[in-house]
Amino acid sequence: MNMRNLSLLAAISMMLFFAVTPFTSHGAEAVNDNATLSTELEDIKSQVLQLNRELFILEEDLLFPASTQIAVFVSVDVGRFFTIDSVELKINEKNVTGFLYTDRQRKALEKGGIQRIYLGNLKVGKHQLTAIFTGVDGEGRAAQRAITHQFEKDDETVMIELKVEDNESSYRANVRIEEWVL
Amino acid sequence: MRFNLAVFFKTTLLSAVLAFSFSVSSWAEAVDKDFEDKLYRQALYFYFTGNYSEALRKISVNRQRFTAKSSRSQLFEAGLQVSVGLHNQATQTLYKLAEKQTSIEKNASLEKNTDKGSSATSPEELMLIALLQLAEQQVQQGENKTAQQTLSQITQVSNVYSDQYQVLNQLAYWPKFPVQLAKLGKTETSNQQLSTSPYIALNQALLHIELNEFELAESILISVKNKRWQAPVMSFWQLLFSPFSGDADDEENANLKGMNVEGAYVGDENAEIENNEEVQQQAVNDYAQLLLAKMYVKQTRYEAAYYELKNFPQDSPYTETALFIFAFSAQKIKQYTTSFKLLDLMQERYPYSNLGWQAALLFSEQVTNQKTLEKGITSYQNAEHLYQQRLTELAEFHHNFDEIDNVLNFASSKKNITATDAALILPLFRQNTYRTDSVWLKKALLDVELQTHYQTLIELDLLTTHLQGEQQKSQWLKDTLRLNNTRKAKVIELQKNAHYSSIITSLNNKKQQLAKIIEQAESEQLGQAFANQTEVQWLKRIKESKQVITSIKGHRSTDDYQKRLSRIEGVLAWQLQRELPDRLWRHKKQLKEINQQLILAKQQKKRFAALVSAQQLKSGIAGRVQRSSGEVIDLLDKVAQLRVKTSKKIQTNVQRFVDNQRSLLEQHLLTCRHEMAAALEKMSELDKRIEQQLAPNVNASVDHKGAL
Repeated sequence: MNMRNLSLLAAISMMLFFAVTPFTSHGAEAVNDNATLSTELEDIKSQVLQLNRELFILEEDLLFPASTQIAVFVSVDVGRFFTIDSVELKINEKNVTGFLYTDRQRKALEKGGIQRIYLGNLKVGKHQLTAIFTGVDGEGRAAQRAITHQFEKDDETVMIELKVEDNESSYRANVRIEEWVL
Repeated sequence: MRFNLAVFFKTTLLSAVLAFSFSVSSWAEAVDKDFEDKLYRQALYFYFTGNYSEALRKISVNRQRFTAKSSRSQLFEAGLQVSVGLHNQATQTLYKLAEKQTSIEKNASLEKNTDKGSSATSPEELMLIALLQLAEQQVQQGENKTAQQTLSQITQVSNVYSDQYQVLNQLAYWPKFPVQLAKLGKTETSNQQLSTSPYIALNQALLHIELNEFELAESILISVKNKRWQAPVMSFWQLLFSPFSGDADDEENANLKGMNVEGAYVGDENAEIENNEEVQQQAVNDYAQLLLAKMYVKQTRYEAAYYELKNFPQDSPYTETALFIFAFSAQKIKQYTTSFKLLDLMQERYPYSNLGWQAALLFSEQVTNQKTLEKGITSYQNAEHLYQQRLTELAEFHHNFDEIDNVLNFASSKKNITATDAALILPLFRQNTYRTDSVWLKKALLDVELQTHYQTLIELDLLTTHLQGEQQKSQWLKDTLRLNNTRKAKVIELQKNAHYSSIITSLNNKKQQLAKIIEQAESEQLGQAFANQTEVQWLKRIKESKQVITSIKGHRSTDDYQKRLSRIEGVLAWQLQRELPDRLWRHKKQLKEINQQLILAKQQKKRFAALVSAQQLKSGIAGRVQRSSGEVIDLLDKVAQLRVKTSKKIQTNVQRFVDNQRSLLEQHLLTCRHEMAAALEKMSELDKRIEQQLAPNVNASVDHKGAL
């Protein structure tokens, strides 16, 4: 609201004091024309967004069907006792992904954002997930936090959240696993 | 008593059932809310990392795929829609949200509590935000009456939104005094008093000026120009609805956590934001000062205007206007040395500005009045030359602009956005301002309408590139689908030959046989049950030998045979019994393996059946892909059509600009020539007067000569 108001006010005040303006008014017809153009543009934008969403869902349905889909998420609660630098993810002892955080990404997590770090396919059955977080602890020392989790994949999508949580009593951060229920 | 007991049991049972069903439903609701919250926070992650297009896509995918449409998700979506210029859509979303919130407020306090449990923003606050943003959209779309109606629905405004409410109220009722119906969170200010927000105060001052209440306006403007004001604390939602305000790391201030993310931010301020605030603060002070000076000029209080602008900063966005008014006022109060310098500076600094052109005339006028007429005429000639030169340049610009096919290519600056990565990310979230090296086009672009058309054109080009990317993606999906289908057809063909039913039956038979043997061996502790082939042969031979011994028993002595056979039988039985535990374990293991094979075979059968049905599912996907590629083509066509229309509008706007500038220059030229003619006339009058003054002397000298 701030600078926009100012520019609006500036425009009004210019009209108040100076009769000479670079542009003369050009009637209601032009205004209508512009409104039509702007509506058309909005329609196109809206359709493009819809198309973008459709293709995104299509891609996901095709490449990661629910029967084989596994998604892993990362979230940070508070982040005072552990500043996250990177995370490494293994499924059944195999490295599947890793992520190096920028300041902005880390802050996004600390502000409550949840990041989907991995989306993949798995066979039905039992599996093991290992996550290794690297970062800096509350006293500025390099630190690592790791967790292993056994889970079973069935016909439904498996969604696992890795929560880096501050523990007030031990003054350190722990990683906790939460499987999402649809 | 028996009856009462029965009633008691029934009631207890009923209440237990009810309690259970309630707890199940509330658990399901909690799970839903929890899941919805997680979906929302995924969109927030993208927003906080600056990836707004992903945030918008995520929130809209959440709505479509998981039917997630909580109030804050809706509000978040509306904010992102505003950022990409989807104002109508945002308005619709906000309408829906406002309706929803109204029904929530009417119906359920329970709903309020549950909503509060998952978010820092209460339903009342969400309602307020929705109405404010709705009003803002309406004001921007010029629907002031509707905005007034929307604002009238607000009954109470908290501190954080008080300024926003007041400014919107002023804008919605402009040029009348606003009707304030809501109860404000902070101390209400009267019209005469300076409000805490400088924008509200500036609006008030403008209103007073318009109504010729100069004294009231003056007191407000003096307060604003001298005031250091604290930048208002903006909530998460206000930041969201301010397009591109978050391009820097404004949100970094939001030292917020998880669920409380929508609250007002209170965190540390970084240097960049401080700098922005400083610039904004200075701009507001400068604007108030300029407005004050303009008002003095309007009241012909030139001296006041002159002293007002004496210390005006050089690097302000309003320097040009301030410099002109300062020079004009200086001239009016006969500060000629200053005005000479200033008018000269104006011409030098702003050779293509209307004020610069006007300065040339004022300068010449002053030279004519203050210096000699000859110098004045020379000055007018210089001004004439300037206007003629500008007219020639303008004609040249117009000709070149008319010739160009793509208006975006006209003297475009290298700083313009290129559409390199537009295919990968949605390009709508960029602030696309067209930059040019052409002085005239730069000046024409001061017109908001033309600038909007250029922006539209850039957006359309980016959309084209993006759509081409989507077309490739759609094609890639088609190819992937085709390859998948071929591969799956092969798998299905192979699986068909596998005859799962007979495999499963055979495994079942084996399983039953083995289970029977194990059961028998275990219950009777019979080692023979697990005899191997040699042992079976041995047992068979022993049995046969026994039969032989029985048959020859009467004819000869069989004691020795009997003993030997019993010994062998005993050894074999001992061996078999000794091996029993080991063999039992091995058989059990075998049974387990058969069981696993059976499970695998059944799973395989199930997967095969799923694969066959998935084929039908894939045919649905194929249809969707086909539809999408059709839509891409349609959209590309629409974009191309709109591009042509917008280009035409730009041409028309530029034509109008050129006409306007030409007429302005011609007007200046005409005035200049008039003034020059007037100066020449004056000069000739002066010459005549001198001649006349000299003439009596000449006559006298002639007479004197004649007399001599």
